[in-house]
Parts: sequence; C-alpha cells; structure tokens
Amino acid sequence: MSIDSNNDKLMNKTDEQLSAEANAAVQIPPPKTAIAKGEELAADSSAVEKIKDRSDYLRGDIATGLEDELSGGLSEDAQVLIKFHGIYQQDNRDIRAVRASQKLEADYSFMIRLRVPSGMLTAEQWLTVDSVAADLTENGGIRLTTRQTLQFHGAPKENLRSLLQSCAQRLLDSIAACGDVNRNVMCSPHANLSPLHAAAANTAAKISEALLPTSRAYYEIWLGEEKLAAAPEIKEPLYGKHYLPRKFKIAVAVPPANDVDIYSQDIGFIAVGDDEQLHGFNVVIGGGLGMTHGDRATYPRLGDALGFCQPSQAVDVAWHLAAIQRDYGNRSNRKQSRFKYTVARLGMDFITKELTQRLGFSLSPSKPIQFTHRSDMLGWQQQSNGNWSLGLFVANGRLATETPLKQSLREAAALSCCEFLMTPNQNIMLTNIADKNRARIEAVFTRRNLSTDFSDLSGLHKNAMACVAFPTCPLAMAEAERYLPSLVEKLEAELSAHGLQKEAISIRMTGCPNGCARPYLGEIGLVGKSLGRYNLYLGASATGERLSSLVGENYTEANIIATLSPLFAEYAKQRQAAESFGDFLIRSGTAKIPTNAADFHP
Amino acid sequence: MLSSEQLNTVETLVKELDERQTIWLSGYLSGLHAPAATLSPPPALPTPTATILYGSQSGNGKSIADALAATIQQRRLKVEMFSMNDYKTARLKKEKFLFIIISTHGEGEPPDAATEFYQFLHSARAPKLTTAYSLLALGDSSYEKFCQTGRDIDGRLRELGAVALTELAECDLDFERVAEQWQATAVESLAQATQVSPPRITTIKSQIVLPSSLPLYNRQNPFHAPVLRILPLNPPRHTFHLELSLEESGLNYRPGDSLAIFPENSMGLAQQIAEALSLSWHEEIEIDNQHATVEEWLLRRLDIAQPTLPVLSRLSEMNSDLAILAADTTKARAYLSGRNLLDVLNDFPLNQNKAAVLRCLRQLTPRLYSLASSAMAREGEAHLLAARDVYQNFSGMMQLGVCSSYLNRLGENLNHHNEEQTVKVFLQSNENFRLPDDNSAPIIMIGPGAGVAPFRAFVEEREARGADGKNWLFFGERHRRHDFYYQTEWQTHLRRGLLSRMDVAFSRDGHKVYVQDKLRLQQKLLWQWLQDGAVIYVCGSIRMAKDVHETLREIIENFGSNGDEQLKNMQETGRYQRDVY
Repeated sequence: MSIDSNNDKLMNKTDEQLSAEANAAVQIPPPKTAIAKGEELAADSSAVEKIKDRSDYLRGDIATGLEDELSGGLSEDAQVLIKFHGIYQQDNRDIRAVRASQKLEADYSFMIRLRVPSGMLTAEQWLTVDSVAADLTENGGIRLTTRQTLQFHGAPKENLRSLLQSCAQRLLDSIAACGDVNRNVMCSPHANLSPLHAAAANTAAKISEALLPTSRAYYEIWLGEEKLAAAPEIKEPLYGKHYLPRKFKIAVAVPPANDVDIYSQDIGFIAVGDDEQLHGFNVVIGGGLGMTHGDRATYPRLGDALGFCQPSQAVDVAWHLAAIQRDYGNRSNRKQSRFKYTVARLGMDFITKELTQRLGFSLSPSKPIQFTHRSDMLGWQQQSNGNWSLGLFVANGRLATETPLKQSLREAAALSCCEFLMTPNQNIMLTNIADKNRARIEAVFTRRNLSTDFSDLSGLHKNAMACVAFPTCPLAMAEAERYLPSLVEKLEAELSAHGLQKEAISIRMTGCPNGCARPYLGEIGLVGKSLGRYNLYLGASATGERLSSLVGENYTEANIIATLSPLFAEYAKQRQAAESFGDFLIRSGTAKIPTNAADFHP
Repeated sequence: MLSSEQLNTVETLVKELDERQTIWLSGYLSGLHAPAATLSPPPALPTPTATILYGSQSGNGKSIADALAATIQQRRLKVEMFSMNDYKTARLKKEKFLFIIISTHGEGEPPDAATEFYQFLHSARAPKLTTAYSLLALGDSSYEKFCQTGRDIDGRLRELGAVALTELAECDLDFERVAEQWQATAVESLAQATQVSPPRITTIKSQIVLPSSLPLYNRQNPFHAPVLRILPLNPPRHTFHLELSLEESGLNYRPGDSLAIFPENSMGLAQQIAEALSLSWHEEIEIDNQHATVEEWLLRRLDIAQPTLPVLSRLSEMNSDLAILAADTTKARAYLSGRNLLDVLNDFPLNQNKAAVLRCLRQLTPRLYSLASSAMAREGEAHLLAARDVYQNFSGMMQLGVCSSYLNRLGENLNHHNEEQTVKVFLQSNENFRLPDDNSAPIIMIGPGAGVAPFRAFVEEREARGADGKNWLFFGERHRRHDFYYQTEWQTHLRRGLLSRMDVAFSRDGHKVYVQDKLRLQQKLLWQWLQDGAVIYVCGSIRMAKDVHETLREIIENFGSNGDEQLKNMQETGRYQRDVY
C-alpha cells in the first residue's frame, strides 16, 4: 500500500510535536480524499432514508411546522429531521389516553440535547443553561446524560427557537446531538484533569467539530440565518445527503478510568501516555449495546481493537471510519444499521484494509493499557495543576427545578471561579477552583445543608444508572429513572446485611432494550420488558470489558430481590481479594461470559 | 271511525255552534294534523288586525309569540306575527294593536334580531303613533339592567303617542307564569278594545292549539335523554362534552338549534337550606298552585344558588335588617354578588313561615346549549359543549355554577360509578342561525370558546350533505394545550379537506391574541372570500361579537367599502348571522 508524502511527514514528527499539535486549538481541516458516496437513494432504503433524501439537507418542513398553531407537534418527516438538530418530539405518555378521550392531541413537548464535547462548560454557559431551563421549559429541570451532555425536557414548540438562540449566544449548540450522525464526543474526565486529560479532551473536541454536518439548516431554522439562494451550499463532504445509516458514537477514554464504557462505542479512542503527555490512542471499533427483544439478529457487542494511532491522526481515523460506515452500513433495515453490524459483517480485516487505503497509512499495533474502574471520584480532589475539583453526586443525572443542588450550582456558577464538567456517570464536577476559592464554593453547598462528602453513599447507589424512560421516552416499555431509586434502596438493605454497602457494584436499568444506560455493561443489568417486568442480566465486569448475559426473564421486583439476595450472601462469603461482583458471578458459574447473540435472548 | 260516545260528543258540540264557529273548528281540526310548522290561520276571520313583534335570541320570545297568536286567533281576530328584523318599520304608524315581546342581553342591549327596530324607534325618523300596545319584556334579574330593552321600548312608544293596553310585564328567567298572565290580560284588553266576545271554546291551552308545530316534548314536558357520554374536556376548568341519546324522542334538530337542559342544584346546598329553614325533606309545599316536596323544590325547581335583587326584596319583608339592605340597590347588588341563598339565610335569619321563603325564590331555569352535532351525521344523538360556569363567591373562593356542577356530578356518576344518567331536555330552534341552502357557498365561522359548538355541527352537516362549499373556522381560547376543543377532530377535517382553513388564537400562550386579531391578519383572504359570496357566522360572547363586528367593519373599510352598510346588508340578506349570549 502506498503512503503519501503528507502522511510520511506526519509519521516523522516527534511525539512531542504531535502532542503539541493535538493540544493546539487550531482546527484540523477535514481530509480531502473522500467525498460522500451513495447520493442515489437505493430502492430498498428504509423510510428514514427516504425522509433524509427529500429533506434538502435536514430542512424538510421543520420551519413551516414551527409556525403551525393548530398542533403542538411537528410532521412525521420533521420529527425525524429535528433529531439531527439535537431535538426529539416527545409526549407525556401518562396522559395520552385521557387526552385522546378529550379530543386533544397528545401533549407534545420537545427534548433538546446539547452538544458538549467532553462535557465541559464554562460557569457562564452553566448560568445560561440554568436560566433557559427555568424560563423556556415546562418543568424547568435539567438532565445530565450518560454521554456527558445535558438535556432540556418539556420545551413547547413555541420556545424552541428562543431556547436555541439563547444557547447560541453562549456558543452552545445542539447540532447532531441526536440523529444519524456522529453524536456528542465523550472524554474521561479523570486523571486529576492532568495535561493528558486536556490533550484527550482537545482531541474529542476536534473530532466533534470535524464530524459536524456542514448543512446550514440548523442556523437557518433555529437562529434565523438567511438562506443564501444564490450561493450554492457546500454539500456535506463527509455525510452526503443521506448522512449515516444510524447514530454514531465516539468516545475518548483516559485509563485507568473506563467511565466512558469505551467498548460500547462505535469508535473508541483509548488515550495512551502519562500524566504529562499524550502519546496516541488505541482505537477500538464496532461496539454498541442496543438490541431488540426477541430479535436474535440484534445483540450488544463490544468494540474490537483496530490498532494504535498518533494524536494528530485521530481526527482522520474517526472521519474515515465514519465514511466507511456511510458507504457500507445497512440502509434498508435500521435494526441492522449500526456500525457494529457492519464490522461484524465485513470483518476486522476488511475494515482495516479499507481504512488503510483511505487514510493512506496504516495503524500500528495496539499498546498495552489497563482499566481499573468506571466510577467517579466524588468530593474534593486536587488537580495536577494544584487547583481543586469538586465531584458532586447527582442521582440519575436529574437536576429538577429549584432543588437545593440546582440552586447551589447556579450560585457556584455566579461566583465565576470554577468550570463545569459533566461525567459519563451523570454526575457533575466543578473544576479549576483555585485554593483561595475552595471555601467559597464549599460554603455554597453547606449553606443549603448539602454535603460535599459522599463517602456515606453506598457503592450501589453511586454506581446506579437509569435512562429516562416513562413518561416521555416513546420507546419505554417499563419504568427506569422513576423506579430505580426505590429498587436500589431495597437492594442496599440486602447488601448491608452482608456488609457489602461500600462495594462499588454497578446497577443499570433501562426501560427498553436499546441500551441508553448501557445495561449490558452493568454488573447488575435490568432491561424493561413491560410495566414492572425486567430481564435480569448479570456478570459484566466492573471495568466495562465484559458484557453480562441473560439470567432471568420478565422478573418482577420480588424475583429480582429473591435472585440477588442469595448471590450477595455468597459473594460476601466466597469472594477473593478485590474480586468484583461481576467477576465473582462468572467464577462461581452463576453468570456466563456471553459468546453469541443467544446469550442475550431468551 | 268514531265510537258512539265520541260521535255523541261531536254532535252535541256541533249543534251549539254557529256557522262561523263551525268553519273555524273545521280549520282547527285539519290544522291538528297539518305537517308544516307554519302557522295556518283559520279561515274567514274578521278585522281588525293585531300585530305581534318578537325580538329574542333564544327562541323563548318566539314561543310566547306563537302561543299569543294562537290565543288571539281563538278570539277570531286577525293576527300577523313578525320577527322584528323581518318587520317593515314603515307599517308602524298604521298599526292599531301592537304586541311586543322583547328580550334584553348583556349590559342592557337589544338582541341582534331587534337592533334595527330598536334603532329606528329611537331615531328621529320614528313616526307619531296611534297604536295601542302591550309589551312583554324578557330578562335576567341577575344583570344590573334587567329588562332594559323592554323598558326603553315601552318608554319610547309612549313618547311617540302609543297607548298602553296593559302595564309593562317584566319576566325573569322563569318567564312562564308572568308570560301566561300577560297573555291573558293582553288578550282580554284587546278583546274589550275590539268588542269581540269570548269564544265558547275556552279550554284549549296554548300548546294544544298548534300540536303540529310543537314537538311532543317541550319546556313543560321535557324529554329525559339518556346520557351516552360526558367528557370533561379541560379539567379543572370544567368544560364538558356531552353526548345524549334522542332516540324515540321525536326531537329533530338542525345545526344552529340549541338544546335546553334542566340542571339540578347540589344536594349539599339544598339539604343545608332545608335544615336552615327547619323544613323536612319530604314535606309537601304548595307554590303557585303546584304541589311538590321540599326535596323537589330545592333540588329541581327553585334557584337557590343565585338569589337576585327581586328575590332579596321579597325576602326583606321577613327581616328588617334585610329590608334596610334591600332598599339600597347598589349595596344590595354588591352584597348578593357571590352569595347563595344559604349565605343570605345565615346573615339574615328569617323567622317567619319557612315555606314562605321558598315562595320568594325564582324558578330554576333551563340552560341553553348550542347543539354541537349534526343530526344528519349522528342519528339519534345530540352533542353539546357546555362551557364552564365558574364564579368567585363572596369569600373569594371559586365555585362552579349550577349547571357546571350538575354536569360534573353527572360525569362522576356515569364515569366513576357506572350509573345510568338522564337529563331533562327540550329543543329550542334558531332560524336566525342556519347554514346556507346553497351547498357551494363558502362559509366563515367565528367561534371562540364554547362558541365553536355549532360549528362542529355545521361542518358535520356540510359533510353529510356532501356540500362542496369551502369552510373556514376561527377559534380562540386560553391555552392550546388544554382548551383546544375538538382539536383532533379539526385536525382530521383539515387533513381531509373538509375544513379549508382554520385560524386559532390562544390568549394565554405568551401573547394575548384573539380571534379578531387573526381576522385582521387574514383580511386579504377574508375579503376574497366575501367577494366569493361567503356567509359569516359568529357565535359566542357578546363582548367578542362586538370586537369581531368592529374588526369586520374595519376590514371592509380597508378595502374601500362602507363597513356599516355592507354588514347591515349582509345581516339583512342572511350572509352575516350571529348567535351571541
């Protein structure tokens, strides 16, 4: 294979130069080689593909729908297209039937998910987020997501434009936060926010920028930019008019933390380096957790190792892998269109060959890395630059209206002496607090009787994760976020009985099998089947390197507790030193290491 | 065909009759089974002519006029009857005997159907009059300007030289008794003035006189309609969608008509009042020659929720403090605002004959609701949209009005306790609010709030008729999310093209926007529709109708026409129809 001179040069740079480049704020221009293929709509394209095709680059009839006063919702086409703008149309499912009997349409409102690479916000941005939620959404709350960004729920159609305009004034947008495009790029917040973290986060930001759609649709529809009829639009060089076959997720992990669940991403970049310096990334591809109950062709899958790349190569690697998925992904069946199925179908050899050809260089063999945990460091920590960070536990990422925690965060932001960082565990960190300001920040919380010491929280509680589910998620089959806290409380009692309350056991619950809260990577995974019924998955590793497998189907709460209680007892008695709950279940034979799709399906 | 007994009766009767009476009776008997609803006068009647003019929105005026006409005809007098807007005012100076039935709306205004007559009468063009007249005024004593239009017309007729045959009769919502008395007195005065002897057949009651024109079920004999469904549309604001069965009632309605419902008082309030008056629940009491139990009077027949000034002044004979209050109308009115009978009894213990208290009350009157369904589209069913009726009581608490709380209870019983429910109803037709016969004529419907009800019927009817005329609806309420009555139905109609256009104005969704703002916004298109012969319908509150009228005038002027003239012209030709309350 041929390596062009440009890449040759890159390869000859020293690591120092490369990492300096990666840290620089300049934007790497998108690669010039590939342009979008497949502009013709295939005959067997799915309905969503057809909507994209006729959308004029994500415009469709969104703008006219916003003006329609007869409905609080948008057309079916527009409902698909707004996802690409980071917006979901939802409705309160609790009152659907009642409203239908009242001859009223469903109670539509909108969820807006911001694009916040690495989850980092300035204090000023946080204040905007806080006031936008209070002024322009129904319940005034903010939800922190498992992809290190935040969502506003319950915004009426009329408020969407002003909401996005307010965000834009603080350089925040929701472009590509949902839809068949590259979503928010994550980055592990840990390693004491060392220069290594900064370099990794910088790479995440660059990937996010480089993989953005170039359509001006977002700016025209939401921010009032004039559509320039005369100047032909620069067509999507990466995505083309049909964008990707399905959502696409990229994360950067900074070992030893695997809080981003790097093996669940379409592309994972695992930072290799030391605290002071980024050397490059191990690239893993083809992870993804979503599946469909009873559909054996669907399954959760962990990413495969592709090789090692230089920091400066990361954007190109991400860009071309997305382009490969664009060209080879399944566009007729959306249940088979994630990159993981493309990888499984084509094989790693094919992908490697294709990528090398497109990049003009090949990746080197992966470097050894080690993950030790996925949880957040809560409470006060000193950063490597001497400043302080404060990790705050936010149950299920919910910052409801005017709770003391939300008020405190606002007040802390108003002090202008910290930054905000949303973690992959749906918690929040206040960062870069100078020593002299630590007491001021602390006082904001203690004044409202909020402790900044979370050591009393049980390990299960700290490692509990749930998706939104009812009432707003249209996919939900069972409760998740509203129910998990009460289940955790009951399980905590069982754990305490065996002296296990401090064990960092992860429990994850979703209302459907699509995997938003990554349940198949929880040591205890609960996936909703119907109201009050869950499939129980056990045996994932504590570090996110092994999936769980199905243990019981259609379990009620009583079934769940009756199954787990004796396992806790055995674990307390028979565990080996530092053995995690998931590992113990494998060793004891209760759970097995999944080897094929059948291990996830009854 | 007849039994021998029947034959005997007929023969006895016929022997007593003179020639003219026989002819009249034959006309009467054939009229019994005449199919048409029109008044067919008996043949060969002598002069002079009496003229009846009625002006009312609800149809009560028309029914009183009908009964009066029938009674006058019994006296073998010629009578002509007109709705005021159909009456040629040039005739006025030639009239000999004039009977006027006129209602009052809102803040003392004449009903739409009487506006022109009212204005003519009060203008400089009004002629000197020589007519004798008798006037019945309809009103609602809970309004400050009770029967004002009647009083105005009465005063003006005198000014113009007309001579009153009877005292001005003023009816409250429970108009029947006063109306009957007035009718008897007025006809007697007329008979004396024209020197016509009373007929020998005197026992015919008004509703028997014209059996073919009156439905089997009426105000006196309401139909007990089974409730099929009752849906609170926007809790907690208590607007109800009500579906009734009219199967086997023989009640045929047309879009534009209303259905009257007899509500019941709340059991709690009725019982507390019985207790306060030391009346036992099953005790029988006579009021105006009618006998019923305390339960019946307090629950179904008397208005105990909203005592009016006349009620207060009648009660004041039993308490001297109350007499002082009642003497000061302004104070009394302020006091009554938001107080029910129990509140009054608590403040002013009445220590006389307890049953006498009941005799001071006015009757509980039926509530009228525009029919929200087309009989053609929904055979045997009648749908109503009952807007919430909420008021603030004297202590500032929000209370449901009598009918709203009645429907609320019906809903509870039907939906939660699964008990079959019926409501007492009768039909009130409204010839002044009708779809165009021309199915290709475009129509513009303006109906904010519960005013949208008849338009649901209109659109259903147009569909059932296969009408291809375009339909444009304006609707307004507070919040789109909660108060968009029949939203999903309108959306379907729009998708299917049955509605050509719908404009909505929600006044509490950020901007205060009202239907008239939407009219203004769409004035170019609206003008185009008018050029194409569109008929405009307005239904809803008087205040809204005024704003809409003003806006329509403005729009017409914007396009270079005379707004007042064109609207007047449209009103006269039936191209601008209103049903306002």
